[in-house]
Amino acid sequence: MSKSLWHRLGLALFPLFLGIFLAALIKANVIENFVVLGSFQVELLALCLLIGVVTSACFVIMVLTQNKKKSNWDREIAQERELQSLEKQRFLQRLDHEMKNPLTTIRLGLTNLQESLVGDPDETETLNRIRNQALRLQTLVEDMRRLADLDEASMESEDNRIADILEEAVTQAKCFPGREQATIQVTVQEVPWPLASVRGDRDLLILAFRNLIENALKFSGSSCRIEIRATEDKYGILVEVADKGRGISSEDLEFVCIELYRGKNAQDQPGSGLGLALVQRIVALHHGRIEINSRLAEGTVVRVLLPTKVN
Amino acid sequence: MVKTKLLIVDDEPDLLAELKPLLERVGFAVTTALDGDQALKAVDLILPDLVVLDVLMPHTDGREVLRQLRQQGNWTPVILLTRVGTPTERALSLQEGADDYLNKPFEPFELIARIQAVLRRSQREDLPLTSFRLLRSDQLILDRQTRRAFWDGKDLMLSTRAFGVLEYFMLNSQEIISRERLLDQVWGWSSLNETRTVDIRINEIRKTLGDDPENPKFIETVKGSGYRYIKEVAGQK
Repeated sequence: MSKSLWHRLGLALFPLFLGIFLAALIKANVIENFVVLGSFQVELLALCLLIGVVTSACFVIMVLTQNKKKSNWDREIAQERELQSLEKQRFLQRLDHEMKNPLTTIRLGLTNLQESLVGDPDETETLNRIRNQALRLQTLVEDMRRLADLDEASMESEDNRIADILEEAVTQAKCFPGREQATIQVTVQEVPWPLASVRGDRDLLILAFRNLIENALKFSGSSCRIEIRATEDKYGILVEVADKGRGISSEDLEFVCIELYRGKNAQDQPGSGLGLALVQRIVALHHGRIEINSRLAEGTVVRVLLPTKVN
Repeated sequence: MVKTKLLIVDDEPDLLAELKPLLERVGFAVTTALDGDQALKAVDLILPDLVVLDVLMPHTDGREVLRQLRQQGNWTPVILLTRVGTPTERALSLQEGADDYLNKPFEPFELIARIQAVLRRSQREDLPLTSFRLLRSDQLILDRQTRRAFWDGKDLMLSTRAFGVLEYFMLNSQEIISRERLLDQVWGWSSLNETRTVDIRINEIRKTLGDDPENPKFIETVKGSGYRYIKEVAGQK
C-alpha cells in the first residue's frame, strides 16, 4: 500500500478523532451535555460520536474506492504497455518474415547478373552498390527483430566476473576504425574487496559494453580518452563508461535509447540507431538499470547498474 | 557424365526462377516444385540426389514433406530453407531429419557450398548423422535430445551455446566452418556480434575436453578460415 494512501486514510479519520475529543470534553463537564433544539432535547455526547463515526466512514469509503480505481488504472496502463510491446514484437517478426523472400530473390538475381556480366566496370560498381544496400536493408530488419526477440528464455545463465567482461568488450571495441590512438582506461574495484559476480549471459553483456565503449569512441576525437570504472553500489555493481566527447543535448537525452532515434548532433556518424536500445534491453534482461548523464561539448557518462548474485 | 539431380521447392516463383540458373551453372540438373504436394510427386518421379526445401509453404509445408519422406523410409538428403532464425527452430529442423538448414536470405554461394557438403557426406554415410539422437566421438557422447554432453559417462556441464557449437561441429565433422557461420547457426544474431565471441566458446569446449589447440585431437583451428572438427563421429540410436 502506498504512503499517500495511509496519509489520506489518516485525514479521513480526523472527524472521528474530533468527535471523540468533543465527547471527552463533555465527559469532563467542560461542555454541557444536553442542548435544547426547539422542542427536542439532544444528548450532545452521542451526537458528536455519531457525526464523527458517520463522516469518517464516508471519507474512508471514498479514499478506498478512489485508490482501487487508481490501482485498476495503473494495472490497465501496465497491461496496455505490455500489449504494445508484444504487438511491436509481432509486427517486427512479420516484417522480417515478409522481407526474407524478396531479399533472397534480389540477392540471387544480383549474383546471376554479376556472373553474366562481361566486366563493364561501371555496371559492376552499380551491382555492388545495389548488393550492399540490399545487405544493409537485411541487417537493419534482422537486428530490429532480434532486438525485439531477445528474451530471458534464450539467455545463458553463468556467473561472470565484470573485469573479464569489460576486458573483452574493450578488446573488441579497440578495433574501432580511426580510433587507434584512443586511450581506454579500465578501473575495476579490488579494494577493500573484489566485485561480486554478475549472473547472466556473458556474450550479451560483452555486446552491451562493447556498444557503450564504441559509442564513446565514435563521438570523441581520434586521440580521445575513455574511462571505464566498475565499483560496488548498494544494489550491485555500477559500471560507468565516460568520455569527453561531443555530448548529448538535453532534448535528445530521453529519446536516445529508442530504436532508430538519432540525436541531432549524431547524424554525421554512421550507425544503425539500434545500439543504445540494444544496451538498454540487455541491461533490463539482467534486471539492471541504465542512466545517462551528458553535457554538450563536455562529454557523456553512461551508468549501468547491474544487480549481483548476492542481492 | 551423369549430372547430380536437385529438386528445389519454394512457393515463390521469382525465387525459383533466379535459383535454378544459378545452380545449373554449377553443373546440377535442377527440377523445381512450387508446393509440398508437387514436391512429393517430383521426389517419386525424378529420384533427386538432394532436395532444397522451403519450410513455409501453403497447404503441405516443408516440414510435413520432410516428415512424410522420412516416414516412407526415404533418406534423400534434404536442406531446409528457414525464415525464423531462433536456435530452437534450428534444433527442431535437425531433429526432424533435415541434413542441414539455411536461413533466408542466404548468400547464394553458401547454399552451393552446403549442397556440395551434404552430398559429400551422404556418399560417406548410410544414414545422415542428423537422424541420430546420440553422437559419439571417442569417449565423447552428445545427447541431442536432452542437450547434454558426456565424457566417459560423466556429465560435461557445457553452457547451452557451447553445446550448440559442439553439436554443429560433430554434425559437420571434417569440414571447415567459419566463425560467421557458427554465429549465424548457433547464436542466431550474427550481424550484431563479433566473431571473437565464437572463440570464447571454443575455448570453453577445448578446456572441457582437455583439447590442446597446438596439438588438437578434436577441434583444429584453420588459420584465416575458422575451425574444423577432426575426430570421427558416429551416430547411435
